[in-house]
Amino acid sequence: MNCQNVKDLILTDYLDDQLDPQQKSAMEAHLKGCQECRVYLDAVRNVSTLPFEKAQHVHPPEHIWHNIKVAIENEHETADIVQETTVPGFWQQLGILKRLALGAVSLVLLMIAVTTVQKTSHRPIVKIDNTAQIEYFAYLIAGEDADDVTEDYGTMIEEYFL
Amino acid sequence: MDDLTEDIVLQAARGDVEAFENIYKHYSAFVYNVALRMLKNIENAQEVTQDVFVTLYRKLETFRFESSLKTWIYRITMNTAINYAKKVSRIQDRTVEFDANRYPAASPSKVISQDQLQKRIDALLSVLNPDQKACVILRSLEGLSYEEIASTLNININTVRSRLKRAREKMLSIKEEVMNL
Repeated sequence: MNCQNVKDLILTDYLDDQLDPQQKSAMEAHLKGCQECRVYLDAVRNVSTLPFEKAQHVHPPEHIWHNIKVAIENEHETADIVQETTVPGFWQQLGILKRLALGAVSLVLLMIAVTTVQKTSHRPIVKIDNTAQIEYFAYLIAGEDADDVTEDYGTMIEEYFL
Repeated sequence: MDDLTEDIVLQAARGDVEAFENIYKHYSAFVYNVALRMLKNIENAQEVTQDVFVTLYRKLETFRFESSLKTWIYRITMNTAINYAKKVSRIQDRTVEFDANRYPAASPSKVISQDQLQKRIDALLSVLNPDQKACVILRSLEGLSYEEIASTLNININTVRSRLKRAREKMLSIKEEVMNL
């Protein structure tokens, strides 16, 4: 182990106590016989670790929590208002049976309307792609948020940093 | 999960403000101290602290308990603080160099006050870029291991080593000026 290797380790693993016992012994054997490296170790320690170890930890002032609380409570209120005024809120209040009944009535009305149009119009009827239309209506009913991708800070680090 | 129970986190995730206050009490000192050291400005540190906790409140329902809440919160804190520091340094648009005139020298004495110590720390951190500063703060002030720093900053453990090495070399280069403060 030469002086340059020792100095590199002083700046990192030795100073931060990250070496395994064998590496640590080798370092200490070198330091014992090398004054230059001992002086370097003292200098690095005095500048880059000791001042930080003695530093005081402070607590944030009281008003910070108050501001955070106000911000999150405002978000709650806004979310409640949006929920009350959106179409999904109405649909959610209806029971499954009511929704089925409403769907059946709508279907009958739609069939009557289509038949009427077929009888009265001379133009050829455009074939409707029912699946696409149902998806489109489902999207409208679910509201704009249905398409939003939820940001996920879960456990995958990269997802947060993206 | 330290002394915060999973139940408290779940309650907070469901919007319980009182449960969220427990999380705030537990982690606010870490968030505030890191922000204060990263930004060296009380107003900015307070703003970052608020941003971090509002973000946490919004995103808590997506937390899946696969990693520790502590690592998750540390990650959000560091990311917010580093981005803020980079934004501030872009606005200032200058390379920070140590300027002894900004840190008046103290009277000679063996015992240094907290005020002097604060000046030394500020001077030492002022020569580092935000990435190096983050590593030094997490290691020397908050006592995280290299592995924890790598996980918090989403970097390789050897990147932690090289950032610490460069940071300490830079701090050593202003040793004479700083130790006279």
